[in-house]
Amino acid sequence: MGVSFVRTVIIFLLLIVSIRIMGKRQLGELEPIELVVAVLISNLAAQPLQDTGIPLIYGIVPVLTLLASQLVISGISVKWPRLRRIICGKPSILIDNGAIVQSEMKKSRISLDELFVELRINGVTDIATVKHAILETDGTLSVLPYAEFSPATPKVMNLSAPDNGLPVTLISDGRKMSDNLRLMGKDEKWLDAQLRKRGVKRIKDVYLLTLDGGGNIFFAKKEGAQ
Amino acid sequence: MKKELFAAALLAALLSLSLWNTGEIKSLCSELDRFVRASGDAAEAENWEESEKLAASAMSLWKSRELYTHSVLRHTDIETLSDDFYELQEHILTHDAAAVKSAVNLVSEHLEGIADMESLKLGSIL
Repeated sequence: MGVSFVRTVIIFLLLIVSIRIMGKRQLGELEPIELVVAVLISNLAAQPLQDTGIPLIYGIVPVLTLLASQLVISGISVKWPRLRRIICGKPSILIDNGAIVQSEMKKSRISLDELFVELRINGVTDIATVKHAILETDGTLSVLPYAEFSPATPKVMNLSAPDNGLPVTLISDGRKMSDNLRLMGKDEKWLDAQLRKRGVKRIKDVYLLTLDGGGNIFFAKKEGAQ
Repeated sequence: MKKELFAAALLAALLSLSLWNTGEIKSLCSELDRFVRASGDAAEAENWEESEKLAASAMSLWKSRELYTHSVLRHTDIETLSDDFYELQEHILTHDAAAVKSAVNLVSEHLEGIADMESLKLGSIL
């Protein structure tokens, strides 16, 4: 048990160092510490399940040790940013004021092709429109376009946009959500009227019906329904 | 911050529990070893009744800690050691001093192995 505890701490720290050395591109939207815990926990928990000859405590102690270590390190990182930089690294600026920072690209081991893929994922097809591109510590790329290429917002255009709130589902896959109906201040009669208006007789024939605060309805009939 | 404090307390508790367990295993193994060696010495002196009594004491101590040993030791180790105890008792019943001596050595070796495996030494950690 003591050996399990010490071994877990050693492997935990070793994996954090390894993943930090591997670089941000390996992370896949997880911070290094989260990735280490995710990778280790599943394996550790499986061992006593697969082999009944191994006491359960050999799975419990390492899993609890990992979770507690992660919480403690995350907690300390909040208070002590330097530790966070050591464990998670710092964001890399790949495009700075429109210029590709080749030294950072090399350091992060990101090729131009990969940069273009990430830009396309972010909806950018022309690199000339990008003012800043930052490779975050979890491996995702944040893209900030020049102001003239930023999407126009109602505020920029001096327009007022109604805030209709979150659409609430009233019918989901043929099932009525009575609580949501009440929440929106509607009743069955109103729902029936809406269905009739759309040529549907039964709730069962509705795939999705949502209503927002502005009274806007989204309606989708079930495929094959009459 | 409460969560982090709880996690730190949990880590401290796990470490304490681990250290306690290391001591507990060591003490159980050394107590068992003492019984077994005494049983071997009695067999060598051809005091078979005393040897049998001491071996039975070792066995009953081992059995009395079944829940604990099953919780912290690999079940294969428990089975091996239980088999060693049965073998020792068998040889005592047949009054075979040489076989008892080798059975005592085997039990001692396994007990030492179990205690070593759980002790926080560089060798067992690596």
